[in-house]
Amino acid sequence: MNIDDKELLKQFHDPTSKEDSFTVIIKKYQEKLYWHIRRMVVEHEDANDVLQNMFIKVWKGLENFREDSQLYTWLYRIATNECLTFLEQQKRKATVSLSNEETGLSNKVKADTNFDANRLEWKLQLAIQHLPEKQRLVFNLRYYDEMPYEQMSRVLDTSEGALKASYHHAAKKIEDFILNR
Amino acid sequence: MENQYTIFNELKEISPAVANLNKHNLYSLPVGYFEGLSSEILASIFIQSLLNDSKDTVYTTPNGYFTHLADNILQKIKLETILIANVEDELENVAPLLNSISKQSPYSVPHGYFADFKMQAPTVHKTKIVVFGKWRKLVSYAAAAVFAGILAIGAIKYIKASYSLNIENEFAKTSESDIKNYLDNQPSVGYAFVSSATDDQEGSGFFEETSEDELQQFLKEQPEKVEIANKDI
Repeated sequence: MNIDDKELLKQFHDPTSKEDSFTVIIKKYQEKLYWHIRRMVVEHEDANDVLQNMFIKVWKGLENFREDSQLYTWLYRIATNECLTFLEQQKRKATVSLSNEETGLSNKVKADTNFDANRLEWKLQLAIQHLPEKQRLVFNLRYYDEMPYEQMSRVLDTSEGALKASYHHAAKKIEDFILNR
Repeated sequence: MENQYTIFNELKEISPAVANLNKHNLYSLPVGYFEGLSSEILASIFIQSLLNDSKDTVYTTPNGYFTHLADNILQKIKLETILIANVEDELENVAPLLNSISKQSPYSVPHGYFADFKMQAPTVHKTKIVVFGKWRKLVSYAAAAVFAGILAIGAIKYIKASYSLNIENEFAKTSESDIKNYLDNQPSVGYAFVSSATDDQEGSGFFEETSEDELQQFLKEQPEKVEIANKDI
């Protein structure tokens, strides 16, 4: 475990420094977690809601956090679960099929103020939104967060072999989307 | 974190086109969003804890309510069971006479009925199924259509006959003097006769009996009506 995280957890368990240590934890991981969530839910307002809910859950669960896993991995796991719950709720609200949900996320990408259809980077974002949820998660964690498969395996509760296969399929689909659409 | 170079090479092997793309974040977000985020989250946590606290303090229960709740419920259940179980006691209060009558059934069953009781399987009577040919169906439809047509024509004829009969009967009942009175009291009908009866003999007779002075007087009094009458002629 990272020594800084260990120290932060120790402070968190001390009632006099609980809030300060939590503030440091938020500041340390907020950007990484925000972008992880944002790439999944696309819109800022949704990402902000998910991130805040996620940190509230962290506050409640940190008391019982088992220090046999890394804080960083644990935070990613909670963030990922919150994302999936949010996307599931969205699907139920809209009562749409999976393909419609993907189109909905693509429309959200296109609605971004910076969106430029001619830029290859935006085409990459559209391609990512066309991936199935699990492949999208694997691709984002590997490509953007540069997470080792071993760590990713703990976050997503999936074997390393399956993750490698998922990443391979995702990259191929993205390439096909960019070159042929 | 795994070596960036390793991850890049891995992707380059799968898809060189994707590996060479720019990784920068393209999405927009509010300026200074991350600066106030931690305090915003702590505020939310504080509000939530307040709400949770208030959940506990809104209502109060009497001292030791939950400690004795289970015992109280069990006691009530026992009491009700005793009351229901003792049917005779209950009946003693409601209708004591019923308690004095024997509960033995007065009805009798044939000797050895229950010993020899067997469930009889229901017998299935096979009925011959008659299948009508296609032409037979058509003939029956045609016959139904002809019958319906005859009924419709008969109904129309009956209605027509009864309608004309009624009018004739009504005229027969009315006396001639009544008809004359009715016609005399209908001036507009009179004018219609004037305008349309110029061709027939009765109409010309009407003018013959009228003197020249009377006609002049009439023309002075009713110039418009005479003009219309002349136009019609």
